[in-house]
Amino acid sequence: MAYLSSRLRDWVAAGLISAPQADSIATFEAARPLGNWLLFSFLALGSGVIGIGVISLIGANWHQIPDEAKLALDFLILAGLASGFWRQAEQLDALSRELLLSLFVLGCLASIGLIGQIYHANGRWDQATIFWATITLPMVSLSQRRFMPMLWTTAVLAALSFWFAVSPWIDIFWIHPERWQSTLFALPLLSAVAALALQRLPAAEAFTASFETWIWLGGLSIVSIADFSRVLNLHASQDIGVYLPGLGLGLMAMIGIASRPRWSIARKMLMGTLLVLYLAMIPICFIGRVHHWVSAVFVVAIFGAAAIHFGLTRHPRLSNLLILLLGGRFLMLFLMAFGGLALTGIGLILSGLLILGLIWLWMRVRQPLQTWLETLAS
Amino acid sequence: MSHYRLRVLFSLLLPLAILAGLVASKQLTREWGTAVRLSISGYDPRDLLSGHYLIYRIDYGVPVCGSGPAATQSDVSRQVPAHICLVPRHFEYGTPVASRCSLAIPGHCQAGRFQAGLERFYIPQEYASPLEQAVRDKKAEILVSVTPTPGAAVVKDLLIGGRPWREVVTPDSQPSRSFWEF
Repeated sequence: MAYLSSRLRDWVAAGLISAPQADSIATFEAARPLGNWLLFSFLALGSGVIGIGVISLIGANWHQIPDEAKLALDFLILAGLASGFWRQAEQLDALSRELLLSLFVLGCLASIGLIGQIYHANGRWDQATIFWATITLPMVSLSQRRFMPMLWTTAVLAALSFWFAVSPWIDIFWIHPERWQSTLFALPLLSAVAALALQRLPAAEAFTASFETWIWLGGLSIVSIADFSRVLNLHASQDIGVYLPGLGLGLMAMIGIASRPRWSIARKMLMGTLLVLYLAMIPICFIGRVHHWVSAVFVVAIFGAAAIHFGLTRHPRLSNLLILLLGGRFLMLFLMAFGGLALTGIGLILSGLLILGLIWLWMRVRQPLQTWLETLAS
Repeated sequence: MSHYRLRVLFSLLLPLAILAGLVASKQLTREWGTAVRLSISGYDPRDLLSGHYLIYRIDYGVPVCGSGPAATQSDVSRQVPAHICLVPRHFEYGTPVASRCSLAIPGHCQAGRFQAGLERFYIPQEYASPLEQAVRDKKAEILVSVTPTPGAAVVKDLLIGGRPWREVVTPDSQPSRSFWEF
């Protein structure tokens, strides 16, 4: 509400709205209920807990109940949930619709577990997850919220990563013993390719948002892991072959970024720079076994560019968090480099001055640079 | 019916139909397949019981995964397709071919072991400890139902001393520790 009041004052001062209109908006917003996002969060939590509870019940394996009865009850419950959703299907904003959808989708997962238990199936968890994700995709795509698409996307990425690391079928295309390292490097790039491809489908907006979450979460985590591995001087594969699938996906992502019709040149350049930095950093850190100063430079560049991206896309909290982490890395770098507090202090003051100087320079050249780039593009 | 309603109907029926099909396929294999008895043993007594299922090594009566593609693999997570032919009994890499083998258990070699998806038997929690003991102490077998090549195999029952486990083992008065308590 404080944020809204501040914005309203700005808009009144700018002459966009009158003072009585600002008062009316403030009164209207104050009278509105908190919104159902909080309620939905609890509903998502509740349906998730019920799903886990059902899976645990199945795990208890009540052998006194005949297999046929267990299966019949399971299908009866699924049919009941399906029938409930069918009746609510057109009430797009109803929370009960979303709850029934979530329970049905999680119920399908529990059913796969039950069938596996009754027939003593011994498949891997990733195979069961991909099977579940395939049969429930149409249902999840009917969701009007982010919870189920996020859960679905996370499950698919986890299962695909595991499958890529252990499946014998990959040998047909690419034989390499250290697939886990390759998988971790490729995960954010795969998410980027998926998000860029899905952006062309407005109906898949929730899936796109989920993949975007994994680009940043996965990418920044792996950058941090690579950096810490250099700080601790840990060893990893020095074979360039490990990075080939990721580099291929990176190329696809680059083409996707370049061909985005609604992105400005500046945004494309920013995203392209981030991608190139990521593609360069991980192999250089591991293959080159470079000094941790080099990895720190990459971290500063990547986190800084990501903070700019979040700032430009109006996610100020994320931007601030990244800048805070950046500050932490700076501190660590100087403490490790100089050891003593006096020298560290001088180093940090110089770094701070450098950052402020770069900001001043950016403010001076931003507009002319953007105009020049747009002229170049046209 | 509107396009949206049709989409909802398809989304609801697809998982139900596929899950029902899966049950039907497993049940058909269980009912109509050839019953085969295979001896089992725990390959690591400390890890015989994992959660609520028994894991074991199956003795197929022939040497498995000894030489060939799997033996040269340095990565223990890698799987190489293979099968156990039951008639005539032998081990072979690749998927089974009906002309050379009428009844086969398909699977793969991994870390020198043949895995057919039959190495797990789900059990009730209160039977976990006594069953683990019984499998160690007595002659344990699994009863497997196998359909003709290319075929599929499903575990039908666990036999202790030639009898179904339910007839041999009594529940533990104090259930074993759950997975979460380890």
